[in-house]
Amino acid sequence: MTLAQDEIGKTLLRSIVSALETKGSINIEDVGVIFENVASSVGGDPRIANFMRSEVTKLANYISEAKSEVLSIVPEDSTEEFFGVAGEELNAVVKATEDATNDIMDATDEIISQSKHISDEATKKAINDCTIKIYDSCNFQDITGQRITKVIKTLEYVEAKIAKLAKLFGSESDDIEDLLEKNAEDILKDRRADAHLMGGPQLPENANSQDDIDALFNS
Amino acid sequence: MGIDTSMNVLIVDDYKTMLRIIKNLLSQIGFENVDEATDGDMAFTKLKEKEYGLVISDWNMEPVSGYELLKKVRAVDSMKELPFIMVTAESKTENVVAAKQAGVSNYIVKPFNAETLRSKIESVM
Repeated sequence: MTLAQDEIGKTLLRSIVSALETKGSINIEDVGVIFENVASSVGGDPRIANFMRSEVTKLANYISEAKSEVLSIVPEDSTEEFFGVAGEELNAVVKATEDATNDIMDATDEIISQSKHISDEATKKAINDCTIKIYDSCNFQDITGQRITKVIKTLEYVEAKIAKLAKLFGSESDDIEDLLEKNAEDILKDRRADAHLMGGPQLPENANSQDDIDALFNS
Repeated sequence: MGIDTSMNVLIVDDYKTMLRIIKNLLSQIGFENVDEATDGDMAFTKLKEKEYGLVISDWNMEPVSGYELLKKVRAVDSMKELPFIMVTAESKTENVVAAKQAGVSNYIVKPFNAETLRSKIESVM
C-alpha cells in the first residue's frame, strides 16, 4: 500500500467515524461530504488529486440534485400521499365508467321492454339487434377497468419506492412514515397459484384475436 | 342447432357490469335460470349445492381464479363433463394452452360479442 492510499484509507475511516459520532448514522447526503474529505486528503501527484476532486465533486452534486428532486416530490406539510390523488382520480374514472355503463344498460333494458309493444315484427327485430350491439359495446368497461387497476398498482409501487428513497435523503414527512409501512414488492406481488398466467388485457398489437384462439383451441 | 335453454347456468365474474352483460345476452338466447358468482370459491360452493348445465367464467378473479375453479370442477367426478366456457381478457397463447389442458370446453377473449357467445355455447352443448 502506498502512502497516498494509506492516507485515503485513514481519512475515509475518520470521516465515517466522525459522521457516526455526530449524527449516530450515515445517510446518503453524508456520503458526499465524506468523499470531499477524502479528495482533499489526496496528496502526491496533483493530476490524480485534481481528477479525484473533480469526480467526487460531480458525485456530490449528483447526490445533492437527486436529493432535491426526490424531496420536491414529497410534500412536507400535505396530508395527501404524493401519488394518492392520482390513484383516487383513476379510481373515480373506473367508477364513473361503471356508473355510465349501468345507465346505458338500464336505458337499453327500457328500450327492450317498450319494443315489446311494437306490432311490426321487422321494426321490433331491428330494435332488438341494436340493443344487442349496445350490450356488446358495454364490454369496454371491464377492459378499461382492468387496465386502469394495473396503472394504479404501478403508481402505488413507485410511490412506495420514492418514499424509501426520500427517507434515505432525510425527509421527515409524516406521509413518508405511513408509506414506509407498505412494502413496494408486496404491492405487485400476486400470491395466487396461477399468478404467472394473469397479466390482464394485452395491448391490441400483442393480443391474440378470437380467430387466433379458435385456431389454437382446435389444433 | 337447438339449445336446451331451461338448464341452470352459472356465470362467474368479479365485474358486476360484465355479469349483467352476460346475463342479458343469455336472456336474449333464451336462458332464464342464470345464477351469478364473483369468484371461483363462491362459484364452486354454488356448483356443489345445485345442478348446473353450463358454467361461463372469467379467469382473473380474487381470491380464487377461474382457472383454479376449472381445475377444482374437473377434479369432481360428477362435473368432469360439465360444459365450462372461459370468458377472459387473458389472450396469451400460454393461457389458452393451460386452460385447454385443464379441460376447458371453449375459450372466449374479451371484448366479445353476442354472436361469439352464442356460437361457443352451441359448440359445447
